[in-house]
Amino acid sequence: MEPRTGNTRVRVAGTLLVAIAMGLLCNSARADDEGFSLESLGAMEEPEASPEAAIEAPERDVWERMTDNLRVAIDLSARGIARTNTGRASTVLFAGIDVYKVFSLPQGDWGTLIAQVYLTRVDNAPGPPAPFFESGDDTEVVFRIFNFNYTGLSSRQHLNFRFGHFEVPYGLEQTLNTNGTLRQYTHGANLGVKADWGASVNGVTKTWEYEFGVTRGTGNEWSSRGSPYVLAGRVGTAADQNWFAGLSCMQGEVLNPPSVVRASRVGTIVRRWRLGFDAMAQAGPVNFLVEVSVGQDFSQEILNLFGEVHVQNARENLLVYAQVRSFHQNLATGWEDTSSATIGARFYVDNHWTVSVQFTQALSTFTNSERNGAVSFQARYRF
Amino acid sequence: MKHLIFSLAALTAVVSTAAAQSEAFCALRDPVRQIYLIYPGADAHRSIVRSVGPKARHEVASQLPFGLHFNELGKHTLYVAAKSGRPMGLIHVRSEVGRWGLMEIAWALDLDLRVRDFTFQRCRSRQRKKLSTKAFRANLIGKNLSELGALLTKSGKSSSALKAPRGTEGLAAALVRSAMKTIVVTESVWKADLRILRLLDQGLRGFEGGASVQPVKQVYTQDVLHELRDRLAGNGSVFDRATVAVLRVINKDKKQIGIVVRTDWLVGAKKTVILWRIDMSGKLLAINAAGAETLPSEFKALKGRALGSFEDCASPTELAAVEVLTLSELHAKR
Repeated sequence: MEPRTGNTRVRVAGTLLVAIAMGLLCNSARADDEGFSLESLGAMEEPEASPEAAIEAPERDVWERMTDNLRVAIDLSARGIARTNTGRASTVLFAGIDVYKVFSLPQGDWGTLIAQVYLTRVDNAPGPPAPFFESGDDTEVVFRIFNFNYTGLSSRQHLNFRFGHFEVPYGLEQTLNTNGTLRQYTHGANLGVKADWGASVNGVTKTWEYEFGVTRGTGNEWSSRGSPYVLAGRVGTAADQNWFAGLSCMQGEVLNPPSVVRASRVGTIVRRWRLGFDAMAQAGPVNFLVEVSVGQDFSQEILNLFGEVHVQNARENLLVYAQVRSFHQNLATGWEDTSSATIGARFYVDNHWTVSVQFTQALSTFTNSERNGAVSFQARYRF
Repeated sequence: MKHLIFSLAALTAVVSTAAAQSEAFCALRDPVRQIYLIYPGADAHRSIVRSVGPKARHEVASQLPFGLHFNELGKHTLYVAAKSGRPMGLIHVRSEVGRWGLMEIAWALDLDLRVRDFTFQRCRSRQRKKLSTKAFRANLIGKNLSELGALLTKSGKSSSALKAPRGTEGLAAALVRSAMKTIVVTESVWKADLRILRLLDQGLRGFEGGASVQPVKQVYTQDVLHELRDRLAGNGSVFDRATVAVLRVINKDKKQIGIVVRTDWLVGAKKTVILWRIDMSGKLLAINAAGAETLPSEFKALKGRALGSFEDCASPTELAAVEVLTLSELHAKR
């Protein structure tokens, strides 16, 4: 059993919160003149019906500065998973807070905080659904994304600094959000870690975007065990266009990666590297996504493939997708693979409710064990 | 840990609103490329997050023949492009339902909410390129809400006034509808911010080194009225004094570097807002209309003049200048 590291994780998060609070106080201390500047914007929620000549500069306290440019949502989800071969059903409940805050000074925006903290309860799962759960019946505090991105160095955001808990910059996951959704890409199985504690440099230019980070290699928790690490980065074309493509790299020693790579695990730390290519293209209502990774786990060669086709309606509140994953590894006995196919749908009922359903069927497994299928359903409510 | 949870719960109880959107906030992206593409001279941008809710929906429904869809509600961001702390204009990204999905358009508006330009942030249509040309964009650039409305039929379809390439009429009309919705929503939801931005623009324009604007709370104090009675020799004001504003222009070191007096003026039958810019020595640096209007030539002759009282005046504009210079002198912080 690994030593528990929850306290360490809370300390790291606490340190980040203190740093942000100090930033807020500095922010408030700098804006004490009675005049209007760009910082005065966002001060009055409702315009006053005073004549044009009788305009007074708003006085703003620390609380108003904290809530300026702040988005907060409570995020509740219930997920059910039924395995077709055993009939075993498990549930996962998420209750969390999603915070997004932009910090501004008279000179403009200078930073963004994203804080997503979720209490997660797993019941009746056949095993820990992620390395930071102790068993299939467990409750954990999960820091999905929890970071501050300093954008004050370059107003055009050519060079930003991020620190905290963020998605490892690699592949499709870098540009497309899958946090708290049934629909996933390859981070867990390919890299062994989806989001991790660390720091990165990131930015955008007219046609490119990039992020390179160094992280702890332990995922949700900041473990003191061993000396795992991850160096990862991605350079890609602008992701807000009708198509994009990117190149990624990753080198690291990852603590206790998920089960798909167990064939090569020695102890609990896996040394690995990856080179990846990802792309997205649209044709009418159809989107194509692909991610290809090559690399090694220790000295064993790896080829990991992922493809997705999805269709959206005109309002984009309904998305139907089909995915194929195929992970290949050159074991001592030769090349083996584990593959699966997934179909699913996501429907935004309104601004609060999202329902999703997904079916995954294993097509082959490393150990030639029974090919499992799983049906998942999720209802999510944000307010 | 308990304290952390309690603090987060307290924060949530106050600021969580019914405007939450279905997707997690980590998916949010600022349109940085679009901001600096449209405002290449900008050196900063400032976000203003507001809730687009039932009030804005009602405003759109009451002013336009088409409404907001559910993706357009919730928290949205208006971006202000700025240079040296001065607002250059606005960027507001709105989505519109297209044939193959939502298209996102980054609208650049000036502070009077006229279209300055636009760019597609996301659009799956092949017609996108045809509508990104300078020739088509000229249909929309410089137009306000009513002028945009003239490009559509009463039912919101493309009219003959909208010069769109053949086959793109539907998408072109959708663009015009989006522009109109953007203007109505911006005016309704960001009204207080627009007042501040216009004040900043009026105050800082023409003053190098200006960083903020400080409005004078009471313009016509007893002292000012007494002084004006002397200087105008009992002549009444040529202004509607209820509309006169005095703005002190402050630099980064918190020192006043100038003053702007904003007055109304009737040019023909039309009321024009005039901005009088005065330096700290009491010299009239410039007299301009706040909007695009042209002022009569007698205003140009006032530039640089030192008019102390009624005896120096031969016209209503010179009387106006006496009052403005008196306000500047008595409200300047030296």
